Amino acid sequence: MKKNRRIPLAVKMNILVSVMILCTCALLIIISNGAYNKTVIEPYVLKIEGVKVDTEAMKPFLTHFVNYVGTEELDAIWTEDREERAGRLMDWMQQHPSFLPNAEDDKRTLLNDWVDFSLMPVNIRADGDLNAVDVAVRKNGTYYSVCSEYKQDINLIEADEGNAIDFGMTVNVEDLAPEDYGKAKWYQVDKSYLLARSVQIGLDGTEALVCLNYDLTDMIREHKNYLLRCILFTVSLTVAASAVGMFLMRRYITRPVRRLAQATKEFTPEENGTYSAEKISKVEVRNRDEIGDLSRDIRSMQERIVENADNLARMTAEKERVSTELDLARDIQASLLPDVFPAFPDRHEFSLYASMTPAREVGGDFYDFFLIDDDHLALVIADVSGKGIPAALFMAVSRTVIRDQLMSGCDPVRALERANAQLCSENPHMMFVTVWLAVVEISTGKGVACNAGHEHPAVRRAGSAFELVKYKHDRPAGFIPDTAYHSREFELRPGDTLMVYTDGVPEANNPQKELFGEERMMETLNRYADAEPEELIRRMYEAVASFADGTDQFDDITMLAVKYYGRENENGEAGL
Amino acid sequence: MNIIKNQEGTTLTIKLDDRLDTITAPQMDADLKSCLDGVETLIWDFSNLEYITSAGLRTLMNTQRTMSSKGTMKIIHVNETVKGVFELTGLDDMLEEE
Repeated sequence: MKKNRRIPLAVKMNILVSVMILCTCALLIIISNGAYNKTVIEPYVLKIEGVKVDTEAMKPFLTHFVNYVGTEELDAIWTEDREERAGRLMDWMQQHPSFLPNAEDDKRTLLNDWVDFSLMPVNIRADGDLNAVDVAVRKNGTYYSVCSEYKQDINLIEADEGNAIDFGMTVNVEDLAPEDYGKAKWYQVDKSYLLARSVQIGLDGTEALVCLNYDLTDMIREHKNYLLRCILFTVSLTVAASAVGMFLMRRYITRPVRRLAQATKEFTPEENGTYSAEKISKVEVRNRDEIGDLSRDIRSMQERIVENADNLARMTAEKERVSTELDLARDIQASLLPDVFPAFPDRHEFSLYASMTPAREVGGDFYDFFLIDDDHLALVIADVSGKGIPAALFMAVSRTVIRDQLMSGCDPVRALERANAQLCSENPHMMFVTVWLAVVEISTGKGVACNAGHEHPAVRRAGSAFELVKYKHDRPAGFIPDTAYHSREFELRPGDTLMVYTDGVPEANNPQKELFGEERMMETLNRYADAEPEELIRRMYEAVASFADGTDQFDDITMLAVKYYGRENENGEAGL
Repeated sequence: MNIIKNQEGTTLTIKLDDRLDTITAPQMDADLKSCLDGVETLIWDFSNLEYITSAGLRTLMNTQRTMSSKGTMKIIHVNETVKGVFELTGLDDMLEEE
């Protein structure tokens, strides 16, 4: 796996600046070099290639010369010392006037020819700059140099195989490939730079070469020096710029950024999860740019975090306080619902059981039962619209009003109407409560019930099955003031069971979003039709829980069940 | 449950499919919070509503209370089952059925 190496910003910038400078300079050097070649060198090339060489005029002389080179006689003249050599040669030539094409004409002695450049059989007058003209003839595989213009003396020197040595300058004739004849080519001879062009002259059985040279050594050397200076300048500039760049970078970017990074590292939470304001970045950055912005932004972010952490801590504390209070409220609410069972242990005419399970900490359902007097049992079950604290508060009011009214001897209808009036009057949020209440005359089993929009009660006659008792209900309480309520008479016989509930039972839902429903409820009730109220209600809870299969309880679940046995006779048997 | 709303001027007609119960009523409640602005006449079209439970009744009753201060509300095209529920909960005279 390739691991990404960390490269500091300064280094990156360094590289960038260096590359840019180098590229720019390289470009400039190339351009100037090109310009130089074009304006300075090329004229030489053109000139040298444009020079006319009168090869025909040279042939006779060269042919004649071929005969003499390589001979022992001529070889004997050769000596290292040039002046000596020149002297010997001149002597020899005077002895061989036939060497000269027209010996009689003084002007046309070879020597004069050599010396008098105006008669030079090479028309090079067109060019004043030409430094050298080398002529070489080939004999027996060896090239012999004949003349060179810029020297006023001549030398006949035996040439090496492949080398024509002439006046101390070596021109490697072999380098001149046949296709190069006629074109200007650069040669570096020792430390000299020559621009040379060769013309081949074919002789009988052999060949000669005329080589024209420009010795551009000085020029080239100077140019090269110039280039070197340019490069040196570029490199120094790059190094200097890099150094300055690194310094500036470090000072104005890297260092502030490091300090900021450090400030963020040090900004750690306290043990309790809050952030201390002391740890906020104290980094002061003077940059008036993005780094300065970053410094300020980091600081303000840390300030916000401190604030948020404080807020969070406060909110959490608040939440815990509320949670504690809710628990307390739950207890208080629970205490409003009678929960001691058996409720009336010394009364054998009936047994009852009730239970309320809120969906949240506190609920909106309630039940109530109490003895109005020795012979009258009041039963209440109610469901406030909604859940949670608002419903719980409304529930407390409803329950108290109803109980008060019933306790003071009113009949259920009046009790309900009064409760309704009270609930409507102090009800800006328009809550309402469905209520079922009944008063049963214990001795006879006869009762009066009212239903304010509540679920149908379930009644099981002894020996039979549970059935829902359906009839037209009045509207819920707390909804419309001055609502008229109606009562309904019923009679409980020994062995009968009455069960009332809230809609949390039939409307409990499972993960598949199905509802428990009336049918399942009735079926469960009838499975335990004979059970005592406590068992009946427990079984119902189990059935609902197993149906819900882990789904959160959506609504409060409340149930109240009463089984009537009838008045005891003296023998302790129930019956009527 | 599908909620189809149709507003003409200040009259809003809401048509519901399927059921209005503990599961679907909260969705309806949330929707109602925003869509009653500027509505003076609210019509519930229950022609496709199969069933309603007390949770649904609560939603309607609460809406009734909201609407009573700024206009009217009525329910139309209830089926027998739904009508029965209204009657039994004593709310049939409360909500104007057509």
